[in-house]
Amino acid sequence: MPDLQLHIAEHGRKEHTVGILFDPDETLKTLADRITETAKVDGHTALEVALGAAPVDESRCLRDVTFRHREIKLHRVCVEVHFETESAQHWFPAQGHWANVHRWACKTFMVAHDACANLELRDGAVDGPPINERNDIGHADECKVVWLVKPGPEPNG
Amino acid sequence: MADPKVDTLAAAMNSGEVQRGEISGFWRFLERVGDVLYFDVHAWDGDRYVLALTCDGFGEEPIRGLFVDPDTRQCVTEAWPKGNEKFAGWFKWEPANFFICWPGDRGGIEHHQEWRAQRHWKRTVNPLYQYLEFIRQCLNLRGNGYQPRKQS
Repeated sequence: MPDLQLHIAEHGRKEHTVGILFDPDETLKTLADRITETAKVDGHTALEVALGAAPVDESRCLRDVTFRHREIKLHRVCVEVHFETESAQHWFPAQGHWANVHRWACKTFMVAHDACANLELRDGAVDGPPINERNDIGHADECKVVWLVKPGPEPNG
Repeated sequence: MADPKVDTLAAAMNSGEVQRGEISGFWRFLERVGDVLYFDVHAWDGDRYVLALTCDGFGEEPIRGLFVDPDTRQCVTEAWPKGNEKFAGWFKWEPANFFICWPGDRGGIEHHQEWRAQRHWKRTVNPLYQYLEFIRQCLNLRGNGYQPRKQS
């Protein structure tokens, strides 16, 4: 019996199940990376769903955490993130928050932590409406296109 | 005959961009009392603050924003979002000197007369959205230094 069971659903495809085994001494980060590799869905976000908590401290050992759910259903949704002249696609659970897309994009585009805090997600275009990162990513039949941008600085005295 | 300035403010409140911000969960319109609009504005951590926007002379004069107690609607320091030094550059939560230090705010301009010439609130077709969007960025862009209540 696997330690975690992920039922992966996706628009237009048959649901499939991925079983994940883990060692209590490994960190959440190694497990998240393995989920991403095995299930082709963002492992960090999947762990948030399984743990029932966000944000997840990836440095923690598995023996120190309690899973709320050992069996979860994840509806995969594709997100395409544009940043300056680059772009990349990744799969996320639809019930994950947009903050996970922001985190993943900064990591993927190698944006420093401080600089990442000055960026925000915009829907559809560089000047599209801002995305509330506390909201769920939500379902989509096609890849959702978002931009990671730096809003203009607001002056003060 | 309808007051055209009231109609302008109503149109701004009902504009697509203000409505979209509400649907996205960045703010929520509470009520209008005369020229004063009350909004719940939401921070990245989910905390909410009540923003009172005085909009007399809307479009011609800048809006005055103040944070107020959700129940009493009084401007008290506890009602203000707090943050680091950068955040404190915009939000002045010291009692007896409450104001928002930004070129689009009437209180900010009273403290920085040189800002009036910029006519910041005239650089948009919707000064209400411009104001709410400024507050959204301050409360939601982590680099702007807002600190959740439990940490500040």
